[in-house]
Amino acid sequence: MLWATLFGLYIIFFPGSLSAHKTTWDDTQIKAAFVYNLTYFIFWDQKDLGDLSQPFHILALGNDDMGDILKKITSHEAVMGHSITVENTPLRPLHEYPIIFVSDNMTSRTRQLQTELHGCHTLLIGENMQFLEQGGMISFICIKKKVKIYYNQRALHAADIHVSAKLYQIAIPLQDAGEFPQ
Amino acid sequence: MRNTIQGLPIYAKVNIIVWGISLGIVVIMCTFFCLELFLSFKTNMLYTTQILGEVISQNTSASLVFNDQETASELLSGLASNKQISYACIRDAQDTIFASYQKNTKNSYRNIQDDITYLRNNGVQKKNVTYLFTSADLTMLQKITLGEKTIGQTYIVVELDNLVADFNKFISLTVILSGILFFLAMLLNAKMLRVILRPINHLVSAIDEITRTKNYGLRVHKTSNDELGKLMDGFNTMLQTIEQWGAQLKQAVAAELTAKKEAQSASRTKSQFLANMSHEIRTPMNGVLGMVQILQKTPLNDRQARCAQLIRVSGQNLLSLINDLLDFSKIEAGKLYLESETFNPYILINDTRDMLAVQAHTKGLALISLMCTDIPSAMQGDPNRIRQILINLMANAIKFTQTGHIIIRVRVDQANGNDVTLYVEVQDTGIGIARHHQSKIFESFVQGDSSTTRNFGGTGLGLAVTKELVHMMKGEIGITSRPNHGSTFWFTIRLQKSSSQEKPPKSCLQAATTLTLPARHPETTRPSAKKKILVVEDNEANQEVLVDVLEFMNCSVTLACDGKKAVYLASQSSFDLILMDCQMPVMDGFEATRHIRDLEDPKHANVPIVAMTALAQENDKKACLDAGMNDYQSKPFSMDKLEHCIKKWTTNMGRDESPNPR
Repeated sequence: MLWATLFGLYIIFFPGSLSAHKTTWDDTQIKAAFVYNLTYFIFWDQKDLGDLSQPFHILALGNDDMGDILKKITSHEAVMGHSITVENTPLRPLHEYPIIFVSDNMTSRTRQLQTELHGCHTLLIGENMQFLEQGGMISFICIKKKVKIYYNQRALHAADIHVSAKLYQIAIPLQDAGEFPQ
Repeated sequence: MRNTIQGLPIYAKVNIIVWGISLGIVVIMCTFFCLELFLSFKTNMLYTTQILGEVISQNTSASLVFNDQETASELLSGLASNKQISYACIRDAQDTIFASYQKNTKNSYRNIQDDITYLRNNGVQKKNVTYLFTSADLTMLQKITLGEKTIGQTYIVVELDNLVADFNKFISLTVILSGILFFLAMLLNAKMLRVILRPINHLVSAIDEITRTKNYGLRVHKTSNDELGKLMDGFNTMLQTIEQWGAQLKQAVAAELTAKKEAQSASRTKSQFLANMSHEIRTPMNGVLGMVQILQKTPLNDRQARCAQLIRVSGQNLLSLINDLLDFSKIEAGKLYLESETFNPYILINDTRDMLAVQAHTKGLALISLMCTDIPSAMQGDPNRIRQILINLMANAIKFTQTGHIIIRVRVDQANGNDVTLYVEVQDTGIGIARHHQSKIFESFVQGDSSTTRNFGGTGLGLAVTKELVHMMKGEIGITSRPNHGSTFWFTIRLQKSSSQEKPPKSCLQAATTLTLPARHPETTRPSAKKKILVVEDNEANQEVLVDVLEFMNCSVTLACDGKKAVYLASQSSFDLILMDCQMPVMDGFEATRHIRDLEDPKHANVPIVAMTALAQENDKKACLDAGMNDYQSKPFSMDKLEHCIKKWTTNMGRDESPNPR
């Protein structure tokens, strides 16, 4: 319901299309929505999520706006029955976060995060190509004022994260990234 | 309509039935298959489209939520491989078009929003799908979900052109196949009909031939052992039975014919016997009565006269008895026939009255006839039988009346055109008949009571014969009587009015209006001049009687003992009259008459010839007249009758009435 409301607002502000170049809405808001939508296209391991009393934790690093927007978007939503909590600072071990959003200003810490999360099923989402090159898994990159989804298959594989084929239909793999401007 | 169908031959009926059933089955099957196929096509199309919509919805959910119109459009463009899909689009949660596909861009006639609205309002809803078949296409809305959320809808339009084309193709194929099947069914039917109808036609032909030729020996060739074979067997058995029956019938008919011939022969023998008996009895009776009458003309003492009178009366009674018996036998055998000739009833009644007047006067009775003047003077009927009826009744009346009178009344009872019914009654003042005897007196051999026979004699046949004669003349007979107060016998007879009418004789009119006693006297009036008469008779007794009687009547008699001599004598001299016996040796009376009539000299050829014969059958008189004779007198004759006859034929009176004028 909330999602529909948000989407309605989105359409009001961006009539006709969700195209980024036509909107005056913040890219952060779009990316926040994308982060939430992305939860539907990842096959989460129930064991990792724990019982239903355990919330689905999302960590938004480096961009408080992102965290705030995400909080708003997901305040009444759930992933596989787990309520969603969004945090801007890590309050628990990193492997307890199924999703960690890494803002542009935190891209340099990607490798560190990866090292810390080695062997854990945490989806790392970034905002630029460097993030992917440093071992990030999915990146929302603005190209021609439109947010595109890129992914690093190797990193996903290494983290043993299974992505829906539907997402692959619209996402662009890292090896093809050279075709697009940074 | 039902009569028309019933009148058709079997092959037409079977054809109509088989054609009707086959056609009905073909039409029903075609309709069923086409409908089934149409529904199947629709179901398949719906199912396929639903799957397609599901796939698109599933695959475009990511594009929709991640706002990737290109990918969504790319996905929709894959629909181009399905030629039936004319349009498809992805609509987002706000019901705006996110991506679309159109097979033919030129064909942008649709107002998609209106179509979707119409589909939502009128379509069939099932879970995530809403669809609607129209005459032209199938439209479907498929929800796009993300988790449990609906994030958009896939709208697909599938054209039914191919479906209709396929369906038409199927219909064409079905019709062609049905036609072939129908044709094959008809061929099979024709073959089957030939198999069934051939033996039936053989049977019908055989029946026709048998009907035409009556050849019951014909047999139908059996071609099978089925029901038709059994029918053939049955028909052949029936023919065999008919043939046997026919043979038996022929034998029976032959036997019947033989029996009939024998019966006819017996009947002829009986008739001949009757004729012979009549002749053989009459001939001696002629001698007896003739001689007695001659004897009565000679001087006799009282005792002799009484004896002669008794002999005469007894003879006459015996003759009457014989006549009644003969008539009764003829009636019983159905051989009594009435003649039809013109006569004058006035003359007939008066002559009959005169005939019996002597008898009545002898007993001192008045015999009176009263005739109404409206009775036609010329009528058609059998006067001899009418006279016989009258004589029977009048003679009875005279017999049973001792004193008083007998009155004969005649009037017209009914007249309808030429039909005239005469009413005749004979009233007497005699002994009368008790009521309980009245109903029986017309029965054979019945008289009023047993004392009647003792007192008055008679056989009781007279009234029975009279009754039969009256019935033969389509009349009735009856009696009213009281003992000791007399009797009235009445009868009616239906006669024909003759075309040649004349006024009633004056004497008759007088008789009708006045009571008269007959003018006739018992004495015989002899002819004034000697008449030359040729008597042709082979019986010696009759020869003697006739000669004596005729000489007594002052006639000149020449005798011939057979026909040949009669012809010779007739050709040699002229006679006033020839009295001709019929049955004679050498040449009978008929042939002799023909020879005489063939004589060259008209004077000899035209001589009156009167048959004097004991042949008393009706056809005997006809045979006499046919041979050329002028009149007929049966034996035994009375002198009165003979005298009347001689007078009749030796004067112009008889010649004018002759049935054989020359």
